[in-house]
Amino acid sequence: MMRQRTFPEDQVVDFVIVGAGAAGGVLAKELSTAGFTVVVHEQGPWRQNADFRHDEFATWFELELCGSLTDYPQTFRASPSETAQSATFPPLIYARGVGGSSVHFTANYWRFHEIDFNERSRLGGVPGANLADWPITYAELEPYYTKVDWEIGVSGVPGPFDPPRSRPYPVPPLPVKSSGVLMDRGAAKLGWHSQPAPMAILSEPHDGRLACGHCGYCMGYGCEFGAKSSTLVTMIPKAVATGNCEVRADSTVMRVETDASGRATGVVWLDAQGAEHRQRANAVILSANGAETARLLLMSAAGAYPDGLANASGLVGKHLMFNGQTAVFGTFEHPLNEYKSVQVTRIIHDFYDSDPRRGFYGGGGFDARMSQSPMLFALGGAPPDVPSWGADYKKWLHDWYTHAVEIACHTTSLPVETNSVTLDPSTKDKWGRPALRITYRDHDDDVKMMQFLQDRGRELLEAAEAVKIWAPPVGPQTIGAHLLGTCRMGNDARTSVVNADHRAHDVPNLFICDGSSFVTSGRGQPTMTIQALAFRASERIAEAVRNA
Amino acid sequence: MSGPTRREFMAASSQLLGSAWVWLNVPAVSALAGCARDAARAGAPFEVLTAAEAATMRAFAARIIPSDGELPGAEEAGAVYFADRGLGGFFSGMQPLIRAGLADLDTRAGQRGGAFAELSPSEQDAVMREVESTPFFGSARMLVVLGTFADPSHGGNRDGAGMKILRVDHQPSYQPPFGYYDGEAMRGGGA
Repeated sequence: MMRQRTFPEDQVVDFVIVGAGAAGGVLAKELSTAGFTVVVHEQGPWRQNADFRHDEFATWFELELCGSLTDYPQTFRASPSETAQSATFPPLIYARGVGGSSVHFTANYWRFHEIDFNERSRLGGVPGANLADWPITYAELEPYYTKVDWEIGVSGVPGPFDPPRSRPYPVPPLPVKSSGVLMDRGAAKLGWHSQPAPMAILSEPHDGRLACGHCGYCMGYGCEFGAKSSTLVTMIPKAVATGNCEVRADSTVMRVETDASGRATGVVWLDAQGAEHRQRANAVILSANGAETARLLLMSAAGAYPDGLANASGLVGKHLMFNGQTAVFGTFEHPLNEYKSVQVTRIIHDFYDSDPRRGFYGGGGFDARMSQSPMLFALGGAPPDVPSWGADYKKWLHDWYTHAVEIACHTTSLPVETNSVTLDPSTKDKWGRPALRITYRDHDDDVKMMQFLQDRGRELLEAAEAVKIWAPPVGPQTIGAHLLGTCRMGNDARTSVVNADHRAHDVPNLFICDGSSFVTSGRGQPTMTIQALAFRASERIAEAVRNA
Repeated sequence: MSGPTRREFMAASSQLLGSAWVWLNVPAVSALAGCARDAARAGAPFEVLTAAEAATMRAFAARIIPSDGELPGAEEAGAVYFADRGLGGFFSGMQPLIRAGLADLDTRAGQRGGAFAELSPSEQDAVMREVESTPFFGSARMLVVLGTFADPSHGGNRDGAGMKILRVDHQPSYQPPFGYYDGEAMRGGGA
């Protein structure tokens, strides 16, 4: 842990922020730099770069960075009429610890396009979904996307479908991998446009941090080089260095407290031993992610707020969106060695926009990678017609692992009101919090879009002259790593939870900024937008507090 | 920490193993939470498996990923040590399933004239095919594969066996070119 200022228990600070992840890290840095006193609560530990290892078993089985289902159970059901069952794998995947999921993410940093903010106006409604416009536009958010590029550290170069930008990327794209070269070839044949992937991983030293060492362990892992631009290595050290910010790792917030007038007064939290404490603040900011933020609001029901805090609309926890994730796999004549370097070096956005001629709503983008690291590939990466044991199984792994590639297909999720995070009525976690109960079934249009893009991915591999191509079946998803939409922004307090400045409609000194703020899902890479929102929210919140 | 119930395990393993797709289903087994133990050293006594069970498990592992003249298999990787340690820790919920399955292998082998470990490889394969669709087989196979490819700190994957099988040149970091096609592009070839 870094040396940092600590606040005495009886001190009322300007802001308490719940969650030290992608959004909370940005808010902590911006508000503490502006001179406000800030306490950040983070339920996971404060790891150092040297703590991060290349251990697939610890990552994917023991869930070292996420926390086990024993400690943090989740329940799942496809529809509200079912009784949710204890999950045997986590329906919601996110990391616990300072830096949050920005520590273990893949670091794809696509900006949203203009249409992501106004599709409802452009396309009209979609039956079975509450598609809505955002209360802000791309143009309003653009300066903050640029802040993310420079302050977080994004490698890239503009592509043909990118929205306008006010400043170049701070560092060039990462060196292309074989998957990227093959994507370029396939796209060129098909008349599509492959472009270098924008990644929150440094291709060159920037802002005092090292460049990527191409170790190959990004997705699911922390970066021992500090080259991945998590808030653990970007925002948090700067927040602490102001002398105005205390980051409390291993502290679990149990509820937001309110007074008789309905104002938030602070939070009740448990330390690592489970002892209860209270942190009072002039304003509370929730940045705990799209699942945890909603749970905390629902757990904070009190006299004036019987259905949960900030929930007069009844929409807290609703409209959960995962993004569609499908894949096509292929092998090529020569070795690609995709186990080396960052996951993604090329993307394609030719199918980004929704096209009414397809007959359904949706859009998406591809990237080329191989997400199955050695152990995962050996467990289940081979195509269905390859034996799962014996000499032929071993020979296939030997001949083809280094020749394999994946086209990962990322698509829209519609905001469906029944897709939600609620409090499980019977299961509790290690701190006594109700387990996250997930209700989720992809909208039919989302499944159609997943299939559409997977089919295009197959065409891409064919055009690139893959030796063999195979793909898992497409269907409704039961796992999500993107936790979006559960406290959506809007101008109308009846149909949204926070306003365009991230202030809760119902509670004047409560602000919410993370994936829960999203009105639409974008095309599958949300963190860039979460952080642009957080930079913008920091300014809006500071202004609101100064004017109060 | 308590391990999962048998029912939970069966659900988890059928989710994982009933489909060939690790893509999203690998975390299925994460429900089998427990605490990993310190490494079992080569030659150390087994923690969970009896000597007879270990012999059967070792023979089973050798048929899942056979050794051959050039490449190590699950035997050389020490997969049985990973399995033993896992059954005492993270996979403790699997113990009854694995014990019963190993006993069943020996029973079936007995009809062919010996313990499973004493049969010829082709006879062992015939017994394996009899049980190939059982939860035991899927679970035991998973232990063998993990024991061959998981990080050596968990007791298996000795002497880089898994990396040799996959032809992974395992280094802490790399420099471009990474593969054939980007190398070709760097040299100015290709499309």
